[in-house]
Amino acid sequence: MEGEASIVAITGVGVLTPAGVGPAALRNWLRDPGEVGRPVPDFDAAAYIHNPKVLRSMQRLFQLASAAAVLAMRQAGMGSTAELTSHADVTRAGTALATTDISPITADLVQTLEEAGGGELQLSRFGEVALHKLHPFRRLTLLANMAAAHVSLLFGLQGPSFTMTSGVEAAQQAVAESYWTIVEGRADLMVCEAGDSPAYGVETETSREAAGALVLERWSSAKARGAAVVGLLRATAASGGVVAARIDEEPLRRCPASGGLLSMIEAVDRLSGADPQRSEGVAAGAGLQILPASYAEVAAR
Amino acid sequence: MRRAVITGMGVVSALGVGQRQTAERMRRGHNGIGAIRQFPVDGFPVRIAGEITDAVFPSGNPRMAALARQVLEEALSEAQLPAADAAQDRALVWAVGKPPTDLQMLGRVVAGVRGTDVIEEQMARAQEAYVNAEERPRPQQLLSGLAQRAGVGGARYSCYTACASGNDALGMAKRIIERGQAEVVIAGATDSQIDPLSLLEFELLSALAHEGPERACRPFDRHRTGFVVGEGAAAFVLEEAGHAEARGARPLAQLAGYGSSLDCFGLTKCHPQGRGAAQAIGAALHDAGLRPGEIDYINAHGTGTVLNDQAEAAALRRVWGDAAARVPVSSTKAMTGHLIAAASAVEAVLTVLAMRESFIPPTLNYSTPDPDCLLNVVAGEARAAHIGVAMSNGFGFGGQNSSLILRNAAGR
Repeated sequence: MEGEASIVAITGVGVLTPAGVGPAALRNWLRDPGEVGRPVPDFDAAAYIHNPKVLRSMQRLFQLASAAAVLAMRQAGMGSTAELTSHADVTRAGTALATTDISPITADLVQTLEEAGGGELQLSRFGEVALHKLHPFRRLTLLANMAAAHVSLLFGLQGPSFTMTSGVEAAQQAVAESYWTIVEGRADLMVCEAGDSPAYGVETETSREAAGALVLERWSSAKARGAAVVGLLRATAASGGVVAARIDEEPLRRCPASGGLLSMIEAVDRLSGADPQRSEGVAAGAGLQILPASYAEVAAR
Repeated sequence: MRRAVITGMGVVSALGVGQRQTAERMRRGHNGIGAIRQFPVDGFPVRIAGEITDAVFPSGNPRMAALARQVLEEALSEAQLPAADAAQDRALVWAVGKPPTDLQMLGRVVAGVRGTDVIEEQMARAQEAYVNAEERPRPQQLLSGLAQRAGVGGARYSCYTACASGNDALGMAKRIIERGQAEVVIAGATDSQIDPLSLLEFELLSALAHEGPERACRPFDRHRTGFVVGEGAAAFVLEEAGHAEARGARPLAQLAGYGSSLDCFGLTKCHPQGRGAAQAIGAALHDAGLRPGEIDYINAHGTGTVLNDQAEAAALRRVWGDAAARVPVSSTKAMTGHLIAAASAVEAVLTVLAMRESFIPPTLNYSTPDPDCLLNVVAGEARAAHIGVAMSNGFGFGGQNSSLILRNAAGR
């Protein structure tokens, strides 16, 4: 596939790190990540997710991933269902999530174990206590795909959806599948998100807290609605060009779900001032290349 | 145009171990639901499940890996795929269910922390114990083992979309082949949620049926009350059609269509008019280049819960219109239980077996039609029929919808 049809526009980025919110904070954090276990400072999930009932049912890493998606969608000019609907067909707008295993250890489980007898656990007693103590929606709060469901509900997305759980490659795979979903004509817009939080992941001793999101759009749709394009994605067989922030390096390798997305956001940020005539793009993993936003106009001349 | 064909399959569930036993029992309408054997259920709120009883698999965390290895061996054997050492043109897509939680171990940890206001310390110790447990499930290790056995040197994908996971793994595999990113994709799903905590979590959602095992799960029946948890795994060797032909492999079926969508309605309930499900079905038909009237059989998601079955019936009516009352539909979950992440992958195997042996599987325990689910439900016993093209649906928590279309290798 050649030309514009093979190019997907990035119209929104969202990023939260222990150094703060936004690409500039990401740059600072990559330079000086500080101690493992540092949280995203002053993170107020209610500023992004307004339904308190929904908020209570979300693990922190899902809150972070959803917040990153909100930031990205706001930048894309589609921060609400109404705005999305005015720009896109919601049935052709989907979401892709990258996530890790989620720890089952919650306060209600610990309290249930304690009340049921702890070390001398009888399953019948545990069952009896659990039906009163455990949160009725406990199951849903622990399912890997739930952040995708939350993001879908936040914006009204009804298109294709997938959740990748492939370890450190999950985020790049989620973005790549989103890219192909658009290029192959099954969606016009995909929101890709991921979040990590040591309190809820399973690699508690080594994980860092961060979240990232990208809004991808069909190039022609983004152009038609006059969207501010911040970067481009293109499939490539070549692995050349400037290498994106490597996900196997600190601190990204300690973000097992979001590391790949954060590396792409860093690349988009780095290319924002690049010369499109000279840029070779940035290898983004999973067979993708990130190009400066102005590349498409240059290529079309 | 590159096409994805199935050249090998493996299956294990409460219906049996392997294709032969599974197909024979499915034709007979065998009920795989019974009393739980994996842990003592005296006084426990959930006592029945669709357990595998025809072979011995380890309990606890190693169970899912053992099930996955079992089905992979069967699929590789049938496909006669040449041995390879990390072949770059082979990829892997696998869905792994949520791992079981070792309550006894956590109970001991929690009991070891004494004093007042100790909840934070208990959580920290429990988390530490869970993370460091030798038997803690590590899905990436499972994937690595499967990839190594199958000679996969290309990309490895792990996905999870709740009860739609199996279909989504197969759909992703289909795309990988069509794009030319691999010539062979090993795809499948594994799940076993028959552990005390998982069963209680489903019970808390009011999703489970409680009648005796003989009639517990009654998909589309007016008196249905919920699903029964099952366990199992399915594996597929998918190949680009030309690649299979060149090495003389016999296709079992073509994976002709796949569609995915989101309900965007709620976290627990599906859209009552089947909006998202109909969209996924429509996308799968479009992908296959087919009209609804060309589908000969639908293997429904058919969990047996009141709302899910009603929504699926509504989705089928949205797509088929009045013809929804004519196309044969069955839910095999009444025989296998609901295999959650592995459900739709196992049901895809069952659909191909039904195609290959020319019968429509029965829906057990269906006796009273529900006016809200007016479908052509094949009840009681298998119905002899040639199936040229079949659809298999998988819908999951969080509003995940997926639909597959399988085309008989023997043609219409």
